[in-house]
Amino acid sequence: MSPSEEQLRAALREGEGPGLDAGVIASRAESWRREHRARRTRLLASAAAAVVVAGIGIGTGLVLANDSTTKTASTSGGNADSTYGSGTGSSAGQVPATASGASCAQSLGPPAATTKSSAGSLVTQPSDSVLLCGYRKGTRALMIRDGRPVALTLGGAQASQVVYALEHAGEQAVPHNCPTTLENAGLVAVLVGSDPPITIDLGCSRTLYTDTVIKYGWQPPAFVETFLGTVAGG
Amino acid sequence: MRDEAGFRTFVEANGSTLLHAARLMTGDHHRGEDLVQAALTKVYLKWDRIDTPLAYARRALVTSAIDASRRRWWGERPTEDVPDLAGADATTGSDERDQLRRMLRELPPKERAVIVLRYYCDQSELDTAETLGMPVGTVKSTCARALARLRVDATTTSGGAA
Repeated sequence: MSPSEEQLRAALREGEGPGLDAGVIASRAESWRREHRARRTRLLASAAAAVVVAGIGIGTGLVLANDSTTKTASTSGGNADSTYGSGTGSSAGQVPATASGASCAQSLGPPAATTKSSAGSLVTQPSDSVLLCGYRKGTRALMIRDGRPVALTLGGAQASQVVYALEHAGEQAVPHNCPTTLENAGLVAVLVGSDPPITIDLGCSRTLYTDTVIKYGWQPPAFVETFLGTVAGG
Repeated sequence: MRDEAGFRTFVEANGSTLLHAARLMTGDHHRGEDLVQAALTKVYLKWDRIDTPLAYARRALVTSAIDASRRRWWGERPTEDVPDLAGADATTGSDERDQLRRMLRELPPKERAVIVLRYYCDQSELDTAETLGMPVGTVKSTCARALARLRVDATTTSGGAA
């Protein structure tokens, strides 16, 4: 067989039936469109719900993480920042404490009458937490401001810098002219680990002492100056 | 849809041709109906945005037919005993026409689409190429190959319909 092109056309045209009902197609298309819209709405609603749930989850996670950080900071003395904000105490009713559990005493006892040597060391063991407590010079009572103890908890590198400054204080007092306003500056008790408290007289000589050791001319790191200013200002 | 009357007129004018082309492309009465309904649904949904609905409908038809033939469950397997076409439009003409229709169903989908567009829809090679999204040269070679398989005397086919 070798049919012609015309025979092919005729064969293809054979069996042509009636046309289509446009209404059926239109209603089918409208139905499809409605389903498509409903599906898209459902999809968007699901996506929105997922976003909301994820947002709540992330928010909760952040809040919990923040709480955890705050707790860690308050128990371990923080890291680079002051736990008690510019050195003016902890939250109401809470006595600041170091990681080792040392906290500010309500008052400092009178200086021991024992002979103090400047050759010894004020800090005997390393610690990653330091607590500084402010006291009034006359009464040696713990300073309270806005209902909170005036104290500063330091951790990490800042604690190390404070300890370094304590260890490198001078062994002899250097006499110099001193404004009388500074003579009555406050006292600071520094608690390092389980060592005995180191008392620092913020007067002109910046004397540091324990019951057995005495040093002079403490040069504190800059980040505790605000706190010391608060204590010195009474 | 703003111009539903226009769509109805379009379907009335071209529905039967598109339906028959779909049957030829699928080789099946019911699949052809499904195919043309799907293609016309696409036309309906885009009626306000398309300039040449007939070309769009043909393109949708051909694309759907070729895509469907690639699917496993619609996969076509050549067979020695080709069944008769179902329905009222089954071949009722001469033996030659009957045989041509059977041989057409044995062609690969793209070759079948080219034959249907060129010799049933009376499209030119250029229009066929645009509908199928292939170069004109490919349409020519595909057409020649299909005609050879159909053993059609192709001496008069080079010019094509307008």
